[in-house]
Amino acid sequence: MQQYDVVVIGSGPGGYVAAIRASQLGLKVAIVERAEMGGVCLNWGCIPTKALLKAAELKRAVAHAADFGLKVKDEGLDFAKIIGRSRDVAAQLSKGISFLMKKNKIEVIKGEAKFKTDKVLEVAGVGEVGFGHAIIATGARAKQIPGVLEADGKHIWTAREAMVPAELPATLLIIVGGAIGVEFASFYAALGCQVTLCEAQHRIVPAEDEEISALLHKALEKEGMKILINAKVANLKATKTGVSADINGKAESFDRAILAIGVVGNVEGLNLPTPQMGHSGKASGGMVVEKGAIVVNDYYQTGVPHLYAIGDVAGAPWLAHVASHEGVIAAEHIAHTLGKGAKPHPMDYTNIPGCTYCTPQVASTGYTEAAAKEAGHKVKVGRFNYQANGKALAMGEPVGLVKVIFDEATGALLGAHIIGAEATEMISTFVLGRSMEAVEADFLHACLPHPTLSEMIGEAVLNSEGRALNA
Amino acid sequence: MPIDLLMPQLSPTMTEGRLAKWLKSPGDAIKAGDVVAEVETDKATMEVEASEDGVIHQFVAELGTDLPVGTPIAVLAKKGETVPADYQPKVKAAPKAEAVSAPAAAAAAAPAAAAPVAAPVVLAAPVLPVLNTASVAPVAAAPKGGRVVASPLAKRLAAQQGLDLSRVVGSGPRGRVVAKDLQNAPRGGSANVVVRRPDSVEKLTPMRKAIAARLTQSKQTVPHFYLKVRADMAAALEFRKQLNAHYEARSEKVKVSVNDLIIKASALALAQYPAANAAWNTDSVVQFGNVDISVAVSIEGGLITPIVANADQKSLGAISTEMKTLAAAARANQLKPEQYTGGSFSISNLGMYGIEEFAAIINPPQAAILAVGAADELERVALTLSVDHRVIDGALGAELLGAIKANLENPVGLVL
Repeated sequence: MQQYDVVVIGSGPGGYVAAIRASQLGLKVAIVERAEMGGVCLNWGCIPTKALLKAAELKRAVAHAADFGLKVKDEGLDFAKIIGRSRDVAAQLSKGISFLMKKNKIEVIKGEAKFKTDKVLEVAGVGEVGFGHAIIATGARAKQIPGVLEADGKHIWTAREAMVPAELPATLLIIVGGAIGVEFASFYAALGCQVTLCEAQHRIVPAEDEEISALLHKALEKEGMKILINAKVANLKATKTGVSADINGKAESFDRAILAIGVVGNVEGLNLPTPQMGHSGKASGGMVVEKGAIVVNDYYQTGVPHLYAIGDVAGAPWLAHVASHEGVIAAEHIAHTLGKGAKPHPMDYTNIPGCTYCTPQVASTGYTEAAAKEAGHKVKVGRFNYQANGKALAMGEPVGLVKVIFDEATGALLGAHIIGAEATEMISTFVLGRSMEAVEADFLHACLPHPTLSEMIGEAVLNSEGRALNA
Repeated sequence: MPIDLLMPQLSPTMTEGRLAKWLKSPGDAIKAGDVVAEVETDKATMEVEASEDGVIHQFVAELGTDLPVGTPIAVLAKKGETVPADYQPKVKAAPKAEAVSAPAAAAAAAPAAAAPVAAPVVLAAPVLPVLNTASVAPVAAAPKGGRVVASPLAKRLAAQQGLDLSRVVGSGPRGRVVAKDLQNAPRGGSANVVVRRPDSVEKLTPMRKAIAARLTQSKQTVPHFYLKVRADMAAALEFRKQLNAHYEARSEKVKVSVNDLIIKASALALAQYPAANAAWNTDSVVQFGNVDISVAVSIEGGLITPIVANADQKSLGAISTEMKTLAAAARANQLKPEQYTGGSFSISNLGMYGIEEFAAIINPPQAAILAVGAADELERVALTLSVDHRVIDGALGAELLGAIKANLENPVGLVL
């Protein structure tokens, strides 16, 4: 039986990063993967959908080419090619992960793993693998509610089927209006599909600042999308040719439907050493799983201290960048317990950027205005519209807003919210600012480049001080 | 040749000075007599003048450092002169400072022999074994060179809450103090924060060094004894009221204080008992010809004793006016050496602080000091005389103090 210091289960952005970090710290590492290297993010999530959304963006650009004086004839689209390109990008990146494993001398074990004991994994088709520490990074899959909101994979899709359909549906129902739902809505609408977006809460992208939600709602409707808020969807069923559902009590039918109601951790089949299973986890009563997620501490140790869990399988926020960060901390913590390297700093979950790649893009970090007030802060809010930014106008992207929220008493940056072109790129400045605990003066002292969209960062901060220069 | 501007000896007791402030900048053209810098000495803040015309080439001493007399502080270039890049200013041996400034009158009489009494060592090495300046492990953010590594927000919060960031153990990257490290600071509870109030270590100022050296020497080598009486001040207070009313009626800007009365009462008593107006001088006792009263004035960072010279010869109004001028100059660090050097007798009054009575340490080489307390409900004031037994015996001390008391209780004598 091969013996490793660390075995990582799952090669998504959490698992493969954890494996590399552990290897960098001088540990003998293996990674177990039952499917494609790179996990959902690379193969069935972030990356292939960005490839699809780029096609949508180009489609919009072609439609506006005449505004720029370009004569472009739109001869329609090759849907199979769009999907094919997305798959190519995913495959290329997946290969890249295999290369990284090799480069970092990480043993890749292909197969489905389950715990035999708390020190031995059984990998289907491979055999037993012994380890000192294990990192569970098995990710998550689309959530379904059996009998109520259930996918059949043919007419009712989850995200996975929605990114590889054989043909473009004419009408599409999307449930609900969170980040994943809105991205698919934006993609399909751009390609000419009639999209109906149903959100159960009173606004779409409910995790975002209300002002941003409202602006996105307006922008998506302008694009031709039908958006229903406070929507109750019942009796979602696949029919012979499509789907039917009762929306707010009214029977409606669509070609296809996408379920985007959240994700649930992949905890099944691992034979986790939970208290009931009577494994030899002496230090504790065993691992606890709550609401489809493994419960962990600040360093991602489960109830069995030498078993760690990171990423989606350890619960919200279900984001690739969070999983990677957690993977690094878990690997460093393991190394630290083995006497190699310093104890890592726990992660700050109040400064995690969220990015939604619809058109217009939405990006944010920190508190929304409402959450900041609820947390007891007296706030100073600054806003700057894309319309007043030279670069935005030159790009033909005049719709958007940069909104910043500062604590009135201390000048701490509580949150930043952007909607508009390249919002997802611009947010990083605010993330860094919050990470370094910048106050408004730090932003004001920085000389930002002209002409850029990023100038709006400075202008929004100036506006929060009541002294915007260009608005 | 370039001219070296040296740390001057600004008073007879000065051995070193602290460079406090530059009043010119490199490149400035200066004339002989221009004030180039301010120096803190053991007594006061004084001005350093340029001895010749020239252009300031460069400063060669750092502000805030204590420099022995004769140390170069700046290099002046003569008109049109270029100072070579490798020019090194030279230290000049300082003239030996007098160990203790002997009173002017005594100087001639005193033999030049070195003082047989060895100067006592004052805090040659730090004596507190453990100072609460470094936190218990882990190490607080107070770093080499005094720069505290803290996030902008942590700095602002600390400023707003009056917290000392150097006392806080940072939990951020590389020990950086971040906002959450401060959150529970004053209320305790956070394991990261040293809740103990910090000790601060302040380098001795020249004045503090002088006070420490002189008073330690005095208390260790001068055989003090103490005499105490209570003087009934009712008549003096009434007299003072009449006197001030008199000045006011004549629109004179004089307001005689109780302290002025005590100065005059003491001076008259000393004139009456000249044997007590004296100083120990190792192998002799010097009896002063003049009655010069040193009056302790509290100033920032210490105290100083400006002198009302010939106080027995001056009117109360003159003493009052002079005392006001001297006290103001003292507080502004502008006393000239001759205004605080010498003196034959000292008075220290803490009555305005409500102190009932206290005993003062003799200001050597003087032989006595009078400590004045606050008036009690019967308008009596405790007068405590500290006496150098080598110079003044009990009977003489008692007569002197009795005379001061009598002068205060029969104030008409103060205007004769």
